[in-house]
Amino acid sequence: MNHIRNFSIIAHIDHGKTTLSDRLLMETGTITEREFREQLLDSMDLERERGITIKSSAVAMKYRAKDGQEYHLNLIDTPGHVDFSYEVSRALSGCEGALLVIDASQGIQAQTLAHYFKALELDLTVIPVINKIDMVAANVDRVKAQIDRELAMDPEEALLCSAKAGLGIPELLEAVVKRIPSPGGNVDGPARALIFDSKYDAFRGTVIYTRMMDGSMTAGQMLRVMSSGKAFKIEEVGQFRPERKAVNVLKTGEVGYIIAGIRTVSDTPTGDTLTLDENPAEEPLRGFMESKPVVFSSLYPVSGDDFEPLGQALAKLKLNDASLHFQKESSSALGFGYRCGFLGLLHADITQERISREFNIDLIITAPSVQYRITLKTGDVILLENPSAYPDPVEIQMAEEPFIDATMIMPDHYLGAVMKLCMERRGTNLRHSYVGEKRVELRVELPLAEVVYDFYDQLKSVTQGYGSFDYGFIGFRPSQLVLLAIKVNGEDVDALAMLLHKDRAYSRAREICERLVDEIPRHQFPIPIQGAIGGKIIARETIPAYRKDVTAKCYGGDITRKRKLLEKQKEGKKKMRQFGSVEIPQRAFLAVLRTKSDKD
Amino acid sequence: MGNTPNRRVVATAMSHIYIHVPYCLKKCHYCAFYSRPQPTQDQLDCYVDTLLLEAGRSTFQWNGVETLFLGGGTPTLLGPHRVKRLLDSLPLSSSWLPGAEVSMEANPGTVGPWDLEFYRAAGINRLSIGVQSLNEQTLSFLGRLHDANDALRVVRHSASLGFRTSVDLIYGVPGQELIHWFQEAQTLAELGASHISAYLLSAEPETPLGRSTRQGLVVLPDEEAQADLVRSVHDFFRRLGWDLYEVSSAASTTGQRCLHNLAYWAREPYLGLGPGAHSFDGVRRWANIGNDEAWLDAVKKGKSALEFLETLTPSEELTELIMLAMRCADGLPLSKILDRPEVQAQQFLSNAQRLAQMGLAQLIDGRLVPTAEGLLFADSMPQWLLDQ
Repeated sequence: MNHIRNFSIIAHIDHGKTTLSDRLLMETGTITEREFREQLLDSMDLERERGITIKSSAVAMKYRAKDGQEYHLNLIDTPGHVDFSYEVSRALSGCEGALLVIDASQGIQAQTLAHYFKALELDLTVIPVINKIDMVAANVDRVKAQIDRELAMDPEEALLCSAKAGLGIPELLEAVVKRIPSPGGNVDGPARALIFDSKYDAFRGTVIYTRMMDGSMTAGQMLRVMSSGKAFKIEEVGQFRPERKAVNVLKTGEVGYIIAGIRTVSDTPTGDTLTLDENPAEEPLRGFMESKPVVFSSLYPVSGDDFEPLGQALAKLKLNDASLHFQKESSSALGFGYRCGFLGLLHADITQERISREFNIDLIITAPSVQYRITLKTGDVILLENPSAYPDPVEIQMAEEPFIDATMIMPDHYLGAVMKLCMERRGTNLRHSYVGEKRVELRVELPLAEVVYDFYDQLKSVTQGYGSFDYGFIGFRPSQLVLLAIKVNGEDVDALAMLLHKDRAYSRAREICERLVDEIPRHQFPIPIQGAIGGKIIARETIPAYRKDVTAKCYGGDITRKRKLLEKQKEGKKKMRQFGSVEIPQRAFLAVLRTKSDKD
Repeated sequence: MGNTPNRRVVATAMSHIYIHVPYCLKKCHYCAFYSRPQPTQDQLDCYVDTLLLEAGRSTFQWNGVETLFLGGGTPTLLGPHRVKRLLDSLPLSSSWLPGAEVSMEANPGTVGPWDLEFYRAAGINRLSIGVQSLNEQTLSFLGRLHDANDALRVVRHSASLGFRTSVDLIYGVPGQELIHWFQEAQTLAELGASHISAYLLSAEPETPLGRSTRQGLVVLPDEEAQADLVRSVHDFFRRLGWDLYEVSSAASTTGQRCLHNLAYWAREPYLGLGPGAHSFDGVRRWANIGNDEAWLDAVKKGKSALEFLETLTPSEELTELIMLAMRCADGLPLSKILDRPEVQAQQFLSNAQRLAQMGLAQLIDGRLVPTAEGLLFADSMPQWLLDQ
């Protein structure tokens, strides 16, 4: 156990985490130069393409240190995005140390801080690593000053490297061995293994990524999932080198995998504890939470024929992604689809993209929304994200919406614009401080509903791409929630109803009415389009009537030509769905339901 | 399936005959019909011979002919003798129903002083006179060869000879004042016209007018203005006490309606003869070759002169049925619709109910009748009524 080091690499997005991982694998001979390919650990195409990690993974390396001894280094790669912060914290809790990678030219960013604090909370030994020192724009001194001021660490502890060029890598491995403590844990106690991720393998079922905290496990034993009490027979235990390699026993302090004929990853939730059925541990490891979706969005197939395949695609993704939630839904506007819950915007985005890419299904994606907490006068508390479930306002005691604590770091001359954006988005408790000569960190409490609605795009736009963003949940706070109804020709259109803050309702209502005017074709009568809150009209537009639809001449016996003309027109009107006497084409729904940032 | 009255019955006898005369002195700027300018006397003789040849070969029975329509083109270019020869020699001439309607289109510029008497004697009893306008500027815009005086003379003469007299009048012409159009219609009615075909000028793509419009040289009234024009013209006929029995057709009394056109709109079978003429036997629609020389050649050699033939699907029949019936004031007999196996009666009736609520149609005595406003939306009716 003295020769084991479990560590992770944490970094702001694009600061070089994955390249550094690959470099360590090469340096330790775990993979040969020939096998080297960029971002080996990120095996999904999408991950490689976006430079982000969705799932955690692990790899075991053997390293002969300068003291002449061989060490087992277990590198746990964590998801790189704030949506997966819980998953990150679970993966980190399987480690004793972390390399905090900081880009030499960009310096400390929002997620650098978030990850750093998380590592501190978990009592990890943090080694700051300044990466990309060979870049022209690198400014090591500045980054060191930031480490001093922002992280309150001795800047001289920072290691300098370039993962890409292979500079400073041996020193880094030495530091891992010397500075990161070997794992503790009770070798003889009842087995406890931390689940830090699970992947689905078509042949073997669930592959549990785990760190043995106490005791050991071996094939043939019965394991027990502590949260559910379910038991499974262990078929195989092993390590990642970097491919799966079976071993006889997974011992205290080791990182590896367990295969136990489990059919779905939902049976082994991340953060949960595995123990042995025969001699179970009394207490699970601390910190387990059920993952709860926070962002909701509906997916509808563009073609009705794709409804079944879409369900199959979601089920397939769910095999490998326990945090994806979905259920069937039907909308009078869009037909049959699925209401999905995601951990965050990126999670939603990636899921949608995988469905269109890997399963080849064209999707209509509704704008993301959040879950509200309603306390009724009866004392009952309900969580809802679907406007159709919104109770009669007279029955409501209190409505609450989720808030986040957001951290943004940016060059100081963008501060004004970003503060303005945050104020517009109902931000409160704005605090800012300098994190370098010309860089400020802005912290602000924001309603999540405001963030899911094109906040990233706006932030990127006002900071010209220089603003970084991170957030953590605060919880629910009272909100002046209203139900905005959209009426077309006097009739409520259920698919367009939405829950939102009162202050937002007016501008949203106006925006929706304007979009509908553009998208709903003229009829033979004027069509009022209204936004209403509880019967009070707050926005109104009118589609003028088109005045006739009849051709003057119909004689001479050529009926065919005329009929064909009509059939052609009819074809164009096919996708319309009816409301009262007004036909609303699907594209009108899309114009409203889709997020603003969508290209089309 | 046994009990499907009025459905998919292929006619063996034709009660309605259309004859297309493909010649004009000159093509009008707005006309999209096939015609050949400046025919020689020989060509006209040859045309009549060939037409009779085609008629003689027809496999349809010729009993009980109710209407015959000589259209064009400019049928009056044939002159009274050829028209007489045609009517006398057609195999149907012995089988007129009493009171049959025998119409001919007449261009005021090609009617000589004594011609009308001869046409009357030849058997024509209804004239459809292409007046178009009594305004010289409008006539020249349209590219018509006659002037207003020609038109007035022919209309007066026609009525005095006892022809059922119809006039074509175009509105929506750039520069035209609707009040003047009303005055012209009034004048023509007073001269004895008992039927007016009132057409909104439209720019057909393959015409000189269509090209000028595309190039922006001519600007026709926009959609809004056109709708106002149609409404105003309809109102004019109603004020006049006339029978506005179709979107573009008004008769002084119900008895003056054009039976031939009504047959088209009621989807009764008709036989078309001559180049480009269309026919319908209840199930199939077909058309002759449009080019007059190709048609002549085919008929003379005993070959098929067909250019196009289609067998209607039930759904196409349905579209036609509604589209044609709903442009007529009498509307759509529900009996023609509800028995059809492909129609969901409940849905159809509920759609009809919706149209009623919208003030576009009414259910009266088993018919769905368009309102004055509904008449302006005849082309939307198939979609609205068949909507699921």
